[in-house]
Amino acid sequence: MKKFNNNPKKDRFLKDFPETCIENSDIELRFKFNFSFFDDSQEHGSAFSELGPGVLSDIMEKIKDYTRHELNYWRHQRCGSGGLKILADYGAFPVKSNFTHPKAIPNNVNWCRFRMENLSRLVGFTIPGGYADKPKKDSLPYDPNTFYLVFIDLEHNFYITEKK
Amino acid sequence: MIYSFGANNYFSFKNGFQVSLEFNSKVPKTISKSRKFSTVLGIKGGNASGKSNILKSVRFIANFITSTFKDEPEQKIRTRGFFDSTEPTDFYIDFENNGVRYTYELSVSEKETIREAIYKKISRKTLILERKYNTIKYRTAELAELDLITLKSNASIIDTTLQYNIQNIGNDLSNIHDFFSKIRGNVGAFGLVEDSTIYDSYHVSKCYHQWPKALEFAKQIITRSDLGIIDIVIHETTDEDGKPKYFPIFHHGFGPDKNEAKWLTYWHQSDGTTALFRRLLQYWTTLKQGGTLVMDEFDTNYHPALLPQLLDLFIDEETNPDNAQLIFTSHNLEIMDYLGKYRTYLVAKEDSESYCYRLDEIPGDIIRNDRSISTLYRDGKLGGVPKI
Repeated sequence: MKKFNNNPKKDRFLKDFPETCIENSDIELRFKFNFSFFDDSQEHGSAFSELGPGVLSDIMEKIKDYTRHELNYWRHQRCGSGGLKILADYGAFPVKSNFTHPKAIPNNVNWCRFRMENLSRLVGFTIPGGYADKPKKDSLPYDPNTFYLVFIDLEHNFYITEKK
Repeated sequence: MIYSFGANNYFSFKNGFQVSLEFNSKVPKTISKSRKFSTVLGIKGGNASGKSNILKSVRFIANFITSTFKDEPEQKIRTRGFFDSTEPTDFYIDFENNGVRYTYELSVSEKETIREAIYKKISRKTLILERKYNTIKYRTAELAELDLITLKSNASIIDTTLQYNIQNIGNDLSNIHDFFSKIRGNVGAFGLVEDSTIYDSYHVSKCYHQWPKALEFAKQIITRSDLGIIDIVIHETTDEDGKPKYFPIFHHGFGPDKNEAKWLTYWHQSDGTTALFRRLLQYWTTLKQGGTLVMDEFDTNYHPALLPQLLDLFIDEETNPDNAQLIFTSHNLEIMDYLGKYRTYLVAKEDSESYCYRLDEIPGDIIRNDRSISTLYRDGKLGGVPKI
């Protein structure tokens, strides 16, 4: 009885219905961005307010795309002519850098960077994997799937030995 | 039994709605009990969402088929389109009676009947009779005698034929008429009719007096519903014309074993008890004779804990051997958990237009066995909740 079952409002309601629940989604894999350690006080780092028209929105679009996967996924993806990894781990803060280690950031984090367009990089850190099983008492577990943004490095001044 | 029904351009339904009681292969046997259709169906939605209009459509079709021949020629057909629409209203119902499955289609305006058609499932769905305005456009050879009758624009060809008492036309039309004459309830073509109006206490008491099994049935349910009543006795007196008049006396139990009784009249009982006393007669009649009970606001006056045992009367094969069906609206939330997704419809309204869906039509996995449907509904996750 097609005529009777042809109700555009019903069809739209059912078509737009959110189908997936938390348990059946991949939400636990998608990595998180944390901005609380962001440092725009250094000479070579950019502040959000200093970014030119479209640059900030391009960065946000990239972040949106990147966060569809887990961090480990991007550690194995490469792009550009040089085939640089999209997410590269440095471990310790690089010796040769035009940036300095911000005082507020713990000394044993894993420094890394996301490659953006051309020379620009999002520099930050992750919690090393070994900490995931060692939560503080009465605290949430450490999350190695979070990227803590520290610098927006538009001119590749963080890890200056890296091929440009 | 009804498999499905629907309407188009009917009160708040500008576009069509279709309500299905049919079980598909996904329905677990614990729900279907090996039936192909549900014997209970709950319809929920906010006030003025249009849920009563769904029930009205069933009553309208039943009334049109069984009792329109007696209407005066100037009597309007008791239907209404969406607001001021002058387009026809369309109905259909797919049902089975005495082992034969039919589909009935109807298009009407308030002024006249535009089309009536009956299909019968033989090996496949086959047209056996079609009427357009006051002319028969198609009939099987078996229905040749129908050529003799004069159709009225505001009356069903089925009711008309049976009033003429035409012989030798097989039994399809009488079978269909019989099916629709067993659609009962508290809904008229224009809305809810209080059951205390349809059945007053004296009428109900008279029926209970005539049918001791019905009284026994009502007593069983009332005494196990924690109302403090241990027995009901129907007494006889005479009215002012000297005719017999019947009334109930309710015996309440006292003492540790509840064997010391004190009695009260109908008028001393709570609204819940008197409603149950009246309506149990309707339930019993439907269960005994088969057919469909259409109840708007089924839960009125009832405590939520009482509802499952009333639904069970229609669900259990032992109490419902003839597959009588109960179609109802309710504002009770917990009843959704009892019915589950295959037996619950939600009605929603957008821009004054209603639409409805059975809960198993909702895509994805939001409704699962380990989740309370009523909680999801209360949180607005299933739609059909008033935006207050």
